[in-house]
Amino acid sequence: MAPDINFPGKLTDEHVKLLLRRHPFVLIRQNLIYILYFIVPPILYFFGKTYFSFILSFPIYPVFILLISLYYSFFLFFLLVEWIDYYFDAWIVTDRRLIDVEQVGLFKRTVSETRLEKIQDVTFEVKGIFGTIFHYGSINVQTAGAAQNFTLNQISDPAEIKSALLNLYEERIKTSGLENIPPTAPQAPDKSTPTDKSTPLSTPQAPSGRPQGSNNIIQDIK
Amino acid sequence: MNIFYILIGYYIILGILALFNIFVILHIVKYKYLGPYYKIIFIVYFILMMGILGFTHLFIFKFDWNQQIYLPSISDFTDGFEGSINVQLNNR
Repeated sequence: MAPDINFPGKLTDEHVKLLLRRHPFVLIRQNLIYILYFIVPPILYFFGKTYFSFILSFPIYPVFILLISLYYSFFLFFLLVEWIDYYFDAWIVTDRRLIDVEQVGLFKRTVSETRLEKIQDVTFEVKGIFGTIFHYGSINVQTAGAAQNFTLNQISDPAEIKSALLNLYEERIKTSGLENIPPTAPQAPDKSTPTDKSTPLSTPQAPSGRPQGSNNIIQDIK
Repeated sequence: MNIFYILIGYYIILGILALFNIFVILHIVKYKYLGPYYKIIFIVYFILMMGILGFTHLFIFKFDWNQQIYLPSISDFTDGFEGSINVQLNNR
């Protein structure tokens, strides 16, 4: 699950841990119409042969063959374009960050990323009969601050991926040394001096390996 | 009309498709987020494309493209029409 790939902005000591794409069944389901497109020429041929036998005569037959050849060439080309749309949509998880590459058609691409230590919460959802049968679903990664949330749509084995993401998060927290930093602010109110009632009542906790607990400290550090 | 012109039309459209293909291939090769499996899809795509074009060319090489097509001319329709008008005029 750790493919050797390069991408723009990859650091020298950064390692790709996961390369995720939508489940292949999604590609097939979205392009079922191509099966219909595929069988149109044979149906036309057999229908024409039965009811309009003149299509096998001289001027029409060679033209028909050339048209069918062009039809299947373009059919294959558009299948390739559909595959590009599927294949270029990817989520890359490195040991430092999560990158969301969203491809719309051939010419539009949106790339967004978040650092792993910014992850607050990871939830997954398996929806529908096909999702249950083929084990694919969506993972929602909630990040700290005003950064957008990441949704990994229709990926295989969302439960496993969720665990992997949390493990990578914990590894990142350990290796970056964020785990040992003591809580800094805000402090508990000092009872000896008069204070305003709006003072925060809870102090942030040190990271305990769970994303939710460590988030406040990470935000303070940044 | 010679049927050879239809073959030329076929090759012109095929050339346009080839341009599309070159564009898409460059687009894929320049793309930086690829995994290791895209080459397999490429190979399958080109084998299928070569299959389609190969079978078409088997037919093209076998066929005599110098035959003439006799399309019905406009006069085939108008002659009868004019004739009927002339008949009507003469009858007056």
